[in-house]
Amino acid sequence: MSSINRTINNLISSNMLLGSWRGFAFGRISATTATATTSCGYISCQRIATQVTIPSNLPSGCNGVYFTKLDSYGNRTSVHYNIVAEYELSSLAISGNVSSGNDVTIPSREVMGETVDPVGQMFFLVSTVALTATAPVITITYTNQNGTGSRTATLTLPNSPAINSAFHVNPHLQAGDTGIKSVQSMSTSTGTAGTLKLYGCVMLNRNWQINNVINRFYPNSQSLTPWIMKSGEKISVYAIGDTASNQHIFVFNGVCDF
Amino acid sequence: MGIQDFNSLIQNGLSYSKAEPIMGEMPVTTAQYAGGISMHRIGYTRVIETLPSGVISVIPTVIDIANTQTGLCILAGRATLLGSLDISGASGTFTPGSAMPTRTSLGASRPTWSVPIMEVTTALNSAPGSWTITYTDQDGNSGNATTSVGFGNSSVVGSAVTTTLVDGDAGVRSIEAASRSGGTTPTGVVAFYGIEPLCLIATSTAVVSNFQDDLIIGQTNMMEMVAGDSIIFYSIGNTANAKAILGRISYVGNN
Repeated sequence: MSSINRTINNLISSNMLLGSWRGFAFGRISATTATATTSCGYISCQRIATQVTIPSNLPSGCNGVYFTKLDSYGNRTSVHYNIVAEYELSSLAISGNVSSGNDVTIPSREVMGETVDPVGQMFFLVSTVALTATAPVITITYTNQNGTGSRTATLTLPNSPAINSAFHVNPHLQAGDTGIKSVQSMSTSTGTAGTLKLYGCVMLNRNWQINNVINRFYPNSQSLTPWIMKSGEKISVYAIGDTASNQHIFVFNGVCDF
Repeated sequence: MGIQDFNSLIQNGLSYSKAEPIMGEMPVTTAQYAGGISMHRIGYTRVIETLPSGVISVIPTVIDIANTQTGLCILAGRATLLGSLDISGASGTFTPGSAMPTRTSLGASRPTWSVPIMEVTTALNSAPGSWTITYTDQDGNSGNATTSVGFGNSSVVGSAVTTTLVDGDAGVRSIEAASRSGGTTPTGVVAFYGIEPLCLIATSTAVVSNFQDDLIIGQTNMMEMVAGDSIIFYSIGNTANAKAILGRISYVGNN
């Protein structure tokens, strides 16, 4: 049964006996990204172009890594930095309108001793290869949080979204839906170049930055839900409310969960 | 008995602990760099003292900082000198430092990595040119080169900045080479540091504010440190104006 490191004693014990995994990481956006509209997320977003991967070779009995510290700083003002556990749910090659990597769900995990089949909290459509000036209409056909398939979300993207432009999908889910469990397909109305990926994300921490100052919430001692990350899973950062090039650093510390 | 839970942490602390003041000054405006996140090395370094018999390491438990400027963010951590570069001559002279250390982490021995911080240790002249580094990344891939970034003209000692790694790279394990290009009769020396982070403390827009990182209960981040380890501090986000920080670092022994 997973302990989810529910006590300070467990955190201290894991930290001291096995050692924590800590780092000081860099990421950036190297070019101006697309501005959102009411047809594609409402709020402009960026996916910072660096992800940190949970290491392999975790010790026997370790369910995964629980983060006790996730703080970030970027050289921009009035930006929310969302630090998330990120899962790729689908990919769309604009050329040829080819959808791949579908029917993937976020892997199950133990929470409070029970196995749950999680659904992401936030969903972003990200240009991982820049698109051209075609203002494509993207249709996502998905299974919702309750397991009902053939639901659709439609976004009309602006012309030529640069690499790392991220479009918030949640506002465009079919009425009544709160999440995407898996994607059946993605398609585009037009276009000849570029790649879009749909990521399902679980919030780990959120830093509100204003006037070069970070304001943050502690992931372990306050109210954020613990999320145990498995080997090979990725931490990613989304800058909410910005389109400019920027640089970003964040510090993290994680311990084994038993 | 070593620290294994909160009670033993208290018991160990009763045997050996310290609460030391942090008093650092940043007397001048430092260079603002376009190619990275500008920082300023705070004129205070905590070097872990020789420990008494039976104390094998110390664990920092809390760091708090009061500052005299708005918009400051404080990075503190254990430092590794990755190398240095005398920028004079045809392309400068690089002196290798150490690789980031290997630590016991998540039950295995793993290499650490860090954002590299370039810090001016001997003031630069008025036209120092630009620099690049070649590094081994967080996964052990060697031969990665950074984008060329301009040195700040006439950068004073303590001016510091991150650099632009290859897209997708999160940090460096080591620096293989560094060089300078351009400039006019460049002079000065810079060092490259890697950091194992203890905290990234957010201060506020208040002129005098006090913020704390509780490294046990607040954000459990227990770093075992031994005699000779250095904790260094950088301010981020405000390189203008003279300023100072006052604070405290506490730690307990691990027997």
